[in-house]
Amino acid sequence: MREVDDALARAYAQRAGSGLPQGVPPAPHLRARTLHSAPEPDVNSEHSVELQWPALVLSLERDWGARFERMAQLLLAARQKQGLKVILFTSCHRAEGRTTLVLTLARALSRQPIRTLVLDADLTGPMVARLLGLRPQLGLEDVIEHGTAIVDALVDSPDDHLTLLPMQTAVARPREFLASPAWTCTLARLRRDFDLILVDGGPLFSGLSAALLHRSVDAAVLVRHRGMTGDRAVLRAREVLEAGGIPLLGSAETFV
Amino acid sequence: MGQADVVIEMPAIRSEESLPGSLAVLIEVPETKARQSTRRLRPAQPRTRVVRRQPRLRKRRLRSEVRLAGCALLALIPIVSACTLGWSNHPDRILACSISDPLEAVADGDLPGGPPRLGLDYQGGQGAASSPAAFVLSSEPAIAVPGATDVPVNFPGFVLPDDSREDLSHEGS
Repeated sequence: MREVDDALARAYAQRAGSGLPQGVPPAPHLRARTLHSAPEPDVNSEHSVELQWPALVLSLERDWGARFERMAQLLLAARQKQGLKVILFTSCHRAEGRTTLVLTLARALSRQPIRTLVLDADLTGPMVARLLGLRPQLGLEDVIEHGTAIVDALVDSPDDHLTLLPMQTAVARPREFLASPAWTCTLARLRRDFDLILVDGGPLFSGLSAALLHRSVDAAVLVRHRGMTGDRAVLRAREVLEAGGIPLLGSAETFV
Repeated sequence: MGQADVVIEMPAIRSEESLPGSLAVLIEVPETKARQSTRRLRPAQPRTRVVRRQPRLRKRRLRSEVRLAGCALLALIPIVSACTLGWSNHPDRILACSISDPLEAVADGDLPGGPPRLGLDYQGGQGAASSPAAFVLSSEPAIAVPGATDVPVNFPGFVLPDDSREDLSHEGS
């Protein structure tokens, strides 16, 4: 799956480098655009908002900002050395601090000279928009399911030097969602436009139902609440990720 | 890519030793209470305890006086009202007297030798004008119609006449 994304990203890059018109999308669901010839991310200026960061995120950044800076440096180093661009943040269960960690880390990465995107891909319980006080008119599900242009769904925060692709509601059919070619094309396009993409994915084990795995990512970080997730669950999560072909960068211990 | 590629394929459970290496801890995030931290952010307020003491004490004195006066009023009002309204005016006729005593009715001879009368007893004429209407409890029916049980009851439509034949069109049906 990653090879397909890379091929699409290379095709985008070649198209941009050859000076071909940018208005021809590779997929019919993407609207033609005649905006930028430079590799700047396509973000509609009308969607620039001021994010309302949660108090918990600000508190974590203030008290433990050095740790997040260190992790941001680790991700940047992994990106430069190994070419990891799309990082999945997942956990064994819900409420392990995954979204809060992603948002705090995004704030640390926003101070770096890279284009960072926070992609809310928790298909069963999106929380990014709600935590940031956003009520987006369009979301990732509109892009994938209804063919809305990515430009219209991206939310840019110039003050924070950060871009979001939120989700409005949970997806009714997550399997079809991730299996659709629109998802592949969308992720390939985001790979081209952004330097680092933090994917806030859903939990690996959602009760008795079959969990879904984002296979279009380069690596994963397992967020773990020590009081909630035991060693056996972590071991199982490692096996799941390994079986899915997703290298595990490490774990992020929360609520320590 | 099929749908089966998306769903997690649960691998066979293995031992921890079979996984390559141990899981690196990238970050440890301590538990933080946002409210506590926001309290820390507040600038320390100057201590104006001595200055603020006097108005507080005044307030307390005023409140206690008001409270004491209110309690005293609440305690005295029922006593005063009882003395002025309840015990000074003795009514000539008690309201309960409007209900006639069954023994009194027996003594009047309305029901000689019988049990006390019952029902709504309306004393018309001069008696009604002189005294209020009396209500007497009784277990007997108030209105007794002699021979009421002998009156035949006809339910129209349920009793067919015997002397006439049915219509020919309905005969035998």
